[in-house]
Amino acid sequence: MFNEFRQTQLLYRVCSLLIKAQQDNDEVFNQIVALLCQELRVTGSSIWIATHQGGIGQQRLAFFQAGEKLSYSLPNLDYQAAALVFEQGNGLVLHNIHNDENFHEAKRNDLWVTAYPLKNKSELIGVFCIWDNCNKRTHQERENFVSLVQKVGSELTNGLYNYKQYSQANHKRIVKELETARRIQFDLMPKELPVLQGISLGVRTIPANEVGGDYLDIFLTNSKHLGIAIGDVMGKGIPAALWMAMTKVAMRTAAKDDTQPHIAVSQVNSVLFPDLSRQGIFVTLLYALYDPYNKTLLFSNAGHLPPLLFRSKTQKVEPLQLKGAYIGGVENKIYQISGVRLQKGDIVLFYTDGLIEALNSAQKQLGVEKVAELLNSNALYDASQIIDRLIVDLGQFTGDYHQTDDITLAVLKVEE
Amino acid sequence: MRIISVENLEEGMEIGRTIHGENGTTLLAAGVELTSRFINRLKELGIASVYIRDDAVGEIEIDDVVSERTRLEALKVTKEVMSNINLNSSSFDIQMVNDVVDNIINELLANRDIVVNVLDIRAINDFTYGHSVSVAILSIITGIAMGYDHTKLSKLAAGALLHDIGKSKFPEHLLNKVDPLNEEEEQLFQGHTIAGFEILKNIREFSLAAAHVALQHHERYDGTGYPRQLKGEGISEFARIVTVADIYDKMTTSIVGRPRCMPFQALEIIMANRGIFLDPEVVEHFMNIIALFPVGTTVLLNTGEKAVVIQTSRKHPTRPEVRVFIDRDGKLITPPYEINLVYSSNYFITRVIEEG
Repeated sequence: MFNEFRQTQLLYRVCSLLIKAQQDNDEVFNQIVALLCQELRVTGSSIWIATHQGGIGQQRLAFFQAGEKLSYSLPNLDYQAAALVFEQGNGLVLHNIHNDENFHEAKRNDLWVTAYPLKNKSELIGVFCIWDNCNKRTHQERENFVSLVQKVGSELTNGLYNYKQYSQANHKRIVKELETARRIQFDLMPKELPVLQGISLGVRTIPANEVGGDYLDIFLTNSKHLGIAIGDVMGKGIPAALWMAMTKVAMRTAAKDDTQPHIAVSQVNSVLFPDLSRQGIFVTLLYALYDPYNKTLLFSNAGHLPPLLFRSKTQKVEPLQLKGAYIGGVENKIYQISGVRLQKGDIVLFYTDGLIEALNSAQKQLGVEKVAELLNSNALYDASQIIDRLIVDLGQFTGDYHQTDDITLAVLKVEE
Repeated sequence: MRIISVENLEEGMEIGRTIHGENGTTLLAAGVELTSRFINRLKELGIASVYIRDDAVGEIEIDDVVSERTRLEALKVTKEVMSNINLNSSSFDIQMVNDVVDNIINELLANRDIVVNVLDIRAINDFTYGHSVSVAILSIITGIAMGYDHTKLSKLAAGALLHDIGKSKFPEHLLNKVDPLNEEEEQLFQGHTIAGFEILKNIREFSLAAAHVALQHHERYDGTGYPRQLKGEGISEFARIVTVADIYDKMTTSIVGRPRCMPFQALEIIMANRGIFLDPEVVEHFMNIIALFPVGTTVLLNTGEKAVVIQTSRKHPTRPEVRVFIDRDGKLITPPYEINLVYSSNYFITRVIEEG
């Protein structure tokens, strides 16, 4: 099936890719598994690396699955196969895996797997898996195949070892860069609040230790209306911080000319959709536009938590409900618009899920009802004082318990 | 100096502010070094927290709205008046009450923008006299905030000071009862409003408006109170003020079976009840006269540092001036440094450290 020459050629390409991996480029491993799947015409392939955080663990460095639709989840089977190798330290060649008690999920009897332990001296540093349809090949072909997998595997061992050495050295630098990212992200949060007659404003972000994806922006539009945008990028780390910055730019651009909220949000989605959908990332986004002259608040919502409106007259809190898909969820989505007229003393609280999902040591969440209650019992203060008070109430609730999510809130109060 | 809860007191700590008993006697004087006996005594008295001298924090000036002398004098007069009534006398020396009330008003009027920023530290059995004086002080400050003149303040103050005078006729064993009152006892208890009114209205020279405070201080704004289920403006303004002061003072001091609230928590409950039990306009004035974080409160800042509140202002209740004395790693900062949170918007308080 695969002559010596092509085998050598393949190995050469794998090796040349592995050299790149030493520059801490783990994307290379994805290229390798894709290459193998295409060249060997197999169902799927993966590379796993051993992690040592709190005992031996495993992390998938790369995974590729050929186009065919499967009635089961190959990534799940792949996880189990790798876990077996990590656990036992030996290679695994399984035909008809549906007979194996470890692989209940496989409903097909034609799938076979070769899971090869990547060992540097005696230390197991990774696992290399190849998934294939066994009916496609003769017994002899399979034997050849296993020997090829071994050859590729031993190259991968070296590559993985170098990669690991390099990434450990890089770890410190990455921590430092994450710190920078966190600072940059913090700097992207509004510092100077716009001044507008008749209202008070307050904002606050409490960043979690990791780089989070909370986004908040407050600005005046061309005709001196107030724009408030709040959102949350799903995920953490540098990608979340990057997407937060992208969202901010897209939102500012879309909102510049007093664009109606639903049009602005639809536009943000159109701009960001291609990249977001390719990377499988979603962003929640709520954009509200406040007109101080007739005290109306228009808003559109792409999957973000509804703001809470405190009505001074009734002393009741109601969520400003409006449904809409996440940014990056539906292509060319046309979002809806809704609005309320505010009165003196009314308060709108915009927030991210970190607030209501804040945990105390008993693992109890603060909850939206409690937030609504606190809004009522601090309603006589101005917006920045309300924020200060909510933060103390939050702190009183959580105590010393460490929060893993960013907490962002913005308050708009109609003062006159 | 800072406030430390009694559970966290240790032997060798030094009392920062004198603690008085219900007669105005000294329970523990400032400067006394705590022994385990003293600590146990404080627990028995149901005192929740005390001011302690703390070298790490240094000196902090604690400026009560009313001088200690005037407060003690008021305590003495209240006790004398109320216990005389108890002995079946139906009258008291009105001049004595007027004098002490005037002293308080004059001291309060001398300051502008008064903010109550001292934690009232009282023993659990001091729920009548000490409470009465505090309610009078809080009511006067609210009255000042509402623009009352001296004459009006005097009437309000007399009514506030003696709002519970009807309790003098109430059996003492029921006053000290830990369990909830049964229906009959509750009826009897509610009678202290009418009893108080009866006493006060029969005293010549005691204003009728002030006497109504005793009658109406358990009425609720929404008409669900007692004894008459009066509603809204149907309740006298004096009584509406005293009701708020009364509730606040009860919440912030220990009562048998219920731990005290911190001022900011009590204010939240008061605000949540505006327009329900309490007059919303009075609440709006009242919230401005109370410091959310009394001087001496230990707070955690967003930087992870610990600080003690050293100065409060009426205009920026959530942003006091603080002295930072423990860094984010838990190490003492020597010497501590001060930040005014009004001018340092990057800093904010994330919680109050009750445990001291």
